Amino acid sequence: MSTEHHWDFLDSGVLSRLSRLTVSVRMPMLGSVTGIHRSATRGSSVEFAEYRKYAPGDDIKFLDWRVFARTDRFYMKEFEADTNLRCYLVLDTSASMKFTSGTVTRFDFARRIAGTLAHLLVHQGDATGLVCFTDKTLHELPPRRTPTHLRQMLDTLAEARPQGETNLVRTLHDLAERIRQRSLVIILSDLFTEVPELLDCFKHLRFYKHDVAVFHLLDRQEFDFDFTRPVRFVDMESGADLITEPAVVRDAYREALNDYLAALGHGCREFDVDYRLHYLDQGYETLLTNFLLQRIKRTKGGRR
Amino acid sequence: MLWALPAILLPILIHLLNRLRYKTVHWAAMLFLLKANRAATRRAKIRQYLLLACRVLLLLFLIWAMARPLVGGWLGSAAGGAPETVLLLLDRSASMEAHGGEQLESKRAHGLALLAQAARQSAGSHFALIENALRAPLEIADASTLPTLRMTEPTDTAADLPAILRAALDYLAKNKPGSAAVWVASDLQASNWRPDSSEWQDIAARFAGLPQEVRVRILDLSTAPGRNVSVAMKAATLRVRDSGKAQLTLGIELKTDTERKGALPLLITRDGARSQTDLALHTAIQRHSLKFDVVKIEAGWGKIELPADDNPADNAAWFVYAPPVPLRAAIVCEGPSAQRLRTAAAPDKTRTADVVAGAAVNWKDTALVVWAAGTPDDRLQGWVESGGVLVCFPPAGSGGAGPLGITWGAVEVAEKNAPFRVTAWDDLDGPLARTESGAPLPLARLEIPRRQLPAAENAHVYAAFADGRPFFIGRKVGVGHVFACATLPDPEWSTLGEGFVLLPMMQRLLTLGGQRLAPPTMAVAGEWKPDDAQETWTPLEADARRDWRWHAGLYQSGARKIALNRPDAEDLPDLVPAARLPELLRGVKLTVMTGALALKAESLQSEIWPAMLIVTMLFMCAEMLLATSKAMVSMKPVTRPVTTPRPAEAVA
Repeated sequence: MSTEHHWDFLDSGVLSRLSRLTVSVRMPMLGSVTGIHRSATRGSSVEFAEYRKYAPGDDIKFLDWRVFARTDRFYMKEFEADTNLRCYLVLDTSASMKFTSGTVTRFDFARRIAGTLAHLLVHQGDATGLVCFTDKTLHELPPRRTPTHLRQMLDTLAEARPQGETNLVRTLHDLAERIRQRSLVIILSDLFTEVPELLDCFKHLRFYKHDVAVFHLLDRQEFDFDFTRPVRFVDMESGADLITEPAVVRDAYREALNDYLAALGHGCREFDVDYRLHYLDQGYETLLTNFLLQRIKRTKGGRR
Repeated sequence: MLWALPAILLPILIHLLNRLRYKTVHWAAMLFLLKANRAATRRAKIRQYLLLACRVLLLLFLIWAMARPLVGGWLGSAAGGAPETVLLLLDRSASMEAHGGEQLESKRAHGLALLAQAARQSAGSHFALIENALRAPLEIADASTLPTLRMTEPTDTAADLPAILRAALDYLAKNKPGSAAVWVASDLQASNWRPDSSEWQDIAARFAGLPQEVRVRILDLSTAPGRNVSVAMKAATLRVRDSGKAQLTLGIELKTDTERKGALPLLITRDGARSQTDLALHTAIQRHSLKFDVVKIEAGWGKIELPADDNPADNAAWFVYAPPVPLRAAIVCEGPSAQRLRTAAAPDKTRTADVVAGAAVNWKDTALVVWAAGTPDDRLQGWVESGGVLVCFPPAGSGGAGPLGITWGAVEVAEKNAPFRVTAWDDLDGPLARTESGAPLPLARLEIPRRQLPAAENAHVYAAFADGRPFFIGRKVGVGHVFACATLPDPEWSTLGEGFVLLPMMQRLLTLGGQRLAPPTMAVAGEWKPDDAQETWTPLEADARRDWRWHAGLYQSGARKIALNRPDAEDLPDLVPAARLPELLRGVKLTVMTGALALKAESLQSEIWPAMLIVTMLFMCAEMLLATSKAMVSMKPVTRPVTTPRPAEAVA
């Protein structure tokens, strides 16, 4: 078993504070075992779901006799089913994730979120998997809900190193095709790729009724672009460089970035993707707290 | 200062250095950066070049301003190296007081301003002023004081440009400067320049012979004729009639340089009393006689003024008159003509004429000697040179030498019924001029069957026969005059004895000779000098600044008075064409600056560094606007592979 210091991206304080919250999904899931999440099928929980007319062959155990006594009609009483959740944590480990203008790199930040979510999910009995990718899938741990699996995931996260070019689009399309059951897909990346292609991926995932959540991680400097002197910019992934005067291109850069963010936000709303833009200089605990609380609110009859 | 010109490359160097001083940043969001770079490059490059141009031009104009540049153009050429000596030749004659073009200042003042400005540009040169009145070089320490110098004030004298140039040549020959420039400010009045004088060849040759480089620049201050009218005093005589009444006659001449016609008011001041009279102008040159009755037969003075016009200096003429002195004529003649000549010389009691032998002439008191005898007297020469007037008639002999260079031809007899006729004569000046009323003398009516032609060197022909032979000639000898007539007032010779020509002619000659006996009352400013250098002549009028050496006006010394007027030649409007000046000064490095009156002194060869500074400031503003709106430096996308991308860090 890996020693705890390998998991230094996990903060026990944050974990204990967040453990009171549930990682919930915004739509019914099709789990294999009973869990805390609403199932797409009717089941045997205590929570009433709906009435429906009796059809021959129905189990008369669920016939509502009181309604029959009042109305002389047969109605079946249905209850919600509870199931568990399958979650995929999709982590971008390309070289661009190394960027930071502060102390915490984008990759470290993403790793903390992924580790914390994995811990929460496994501890609430949900199956969690991990996909680390660059221009190809580096690690893929299928969703399981055992503590051993959690340790394996955390070890993988601890050992992952950002390098190489990214190919988010292909990774997501592959993933959409591979996941057979409805799942919660949490993507952690800088998303530096063309918006239409990205939206195609989300559309693909949503087509299979996956609940897609995106953590878009940006450094403040990437937004502000506050350089003063001439700079030679070197692409972290391809190594191409560009010498320019930042003041000259600043406006055009911000315009391009804003257009990109606007298009991305609009596309995510259109495909009901839970999109969260976050800057690295903000704490990840706040991000996760908001993420969890808002999901709980959005879940009908959110419950533990 | 222009050695600093390479400094304009500084912005370009700084720009290139800046490009080398970039820092390296490993960047993730290249997607947007490349898009932004594509979008901004074209606009940025234009702005960048503009900014660079602004900075380069800014420096260029700053250096230019610090080099204290001069205005280019025709005077700008003078900036090419200041000569060691600059001679400023100023024509301050009366005609230079005319207003130049549309400006209110006189041509002299304008020329002075131009000269001062030109001199200011040649700081470090040695300056000397030569003006027309004294023609003595005056060293000037500071050229800016030029307009305030007494020696540049207006005068009523004439200018002798050849003489001024000779004075300049003398100065150059004496002081031997390494290089020199001669600036001439003049209105190119023909009477001042005397373009037909043979002196110009000598002057041009002397310039060409100077060892040093001398450049002559002539400021052409001439103007087209305006609306100027000038008045000149020709004569002021007091006549006492037989009745004892006296009459003052003022002979004035009015000249206009245009065809101005109409009434002209004349303000006449006589012995302090003012009056006004209107004269009708009808020709370019016209003479008038103004007559005034005088109560007391004694000396007097006065002036005649015209209304203000283009040239204020020629609007006044002064006069002083004195009682007539007794005029005496001596007739040295043998024969029947003697009595006729005597009667013509002394028609009334105010004149006396004696028929005497040549040796018996009273030389001291005689105003006119009529000589029709053979051998001239030895004393005649000295008498004429001291101011006497000699008129010679044919000796009726075989001809030969007469008195004072007059030679006589043989006696010619006309064919019967075809006497010699006088057809041309000078009716403006001289003894055969028109009468005061403007009527010409009836010379054409003279019938001359016999004649003996006079000849003399440098003689002026006052009247000529139809065949062009001289009838009446005259020349100046010393202060006096010698005249000769080709016929005798004898019926055998001519009808001259009838008197209609002889009488006025003799009277005029007598008056002319009488000037010797009385001290002069009128003279030309600039030419007149007191007989005694110790005498103090002061202005009669209140204007104490007047100086008899070069100002017209009334002056007195004790009881004596004199009226000085500007020379007649100053009123002549004729100009020397500027194109003729290179011909006069052939071989001289000459620049004729035509249209100098249209130039303002400030704009003439003036320093334009303030304008340069303003341009520099404009470029500064433009640079600031460009630099602050969106800064610019070059961007040149360079794509080259980097093996190991590193985390974001600055590598300066």
